[in-house]
Amino acid sequence: MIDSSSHLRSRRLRRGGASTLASILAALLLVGVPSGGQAQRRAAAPAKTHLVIIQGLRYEPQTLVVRRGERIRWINKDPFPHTVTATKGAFDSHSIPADGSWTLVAGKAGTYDYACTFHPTMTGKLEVR
Amino acid sequence: MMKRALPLLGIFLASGIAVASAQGAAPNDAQIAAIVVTANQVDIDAGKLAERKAHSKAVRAFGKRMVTDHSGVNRSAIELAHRLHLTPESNPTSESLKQGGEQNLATLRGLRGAAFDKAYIDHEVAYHQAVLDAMDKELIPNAQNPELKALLVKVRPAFVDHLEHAKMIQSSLAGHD
Repeated sequence: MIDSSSHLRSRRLRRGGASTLASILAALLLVGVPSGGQAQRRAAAPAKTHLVIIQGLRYEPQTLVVRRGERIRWINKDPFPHTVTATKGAFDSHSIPADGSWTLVAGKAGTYDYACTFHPTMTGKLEVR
Repeated sequence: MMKRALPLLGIFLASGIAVASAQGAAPNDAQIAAIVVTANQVDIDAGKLAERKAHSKAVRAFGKRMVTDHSGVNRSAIELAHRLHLTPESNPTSESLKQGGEQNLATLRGLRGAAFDKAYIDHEVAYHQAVLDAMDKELIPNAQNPELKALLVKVRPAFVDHLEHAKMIQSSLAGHD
């Protein structure tokens, strides 16, 4: 559950291939690749996005250090679902399907241990500075 | 050619914790594909039964996880086999796995409550250990196609996790006896 009083703001993106495709399209637009008359070229500069790849039941990198306001995007490359769940409840992706992703915006500074609620051997750490 | 996969048989016989013999010919990629697909399917079938029949919530959740994860692995394996034009080739090991799975289901169907949970989880522990042994000693070392080998390496940690998870449940069930 994402607690409204949590120290991190989380935002659940659309799941599955659609979200991946949407992100790729968004990235293309942001770097100004020609894409027809409706391109949104004047979007505000986005905060930096860090990627964490979930593969082989590991979060890579296992420990990630970010600044407040930056985004972290977990991409699930395993053929089955995982979660990104703070052990003390600050954030919870719930099920991220195969090839899906989930993005969090880093809020309050601190160290956040997280785990996959489906797989007891998976742990990761997020440090917000 | 039926003899080729025989060394693996020992791993899976009955509650099958015998260690594979290193002697004899190695399984080929088509046989490895059949072993992988069968190994996953057997655990999916047992998981479906546990989802429905298990007494404890943790065991039902574990069964559901097995169905989800092994179905995902099998989708990847079947997709890869298709792309590589690799037709899974039935062999003594895959047949033994299948028979062992059917036997396990027959046993589980006759049980209920805590006895079901214990039998299912005990078998899951033994089963995942046996599959891991087979992956390490026979399947990964003998896989010729690099993509097939890569898939085995990629999904191996899932079997490790399932084994640890099953052991955790096993000790919690023992604590309630």
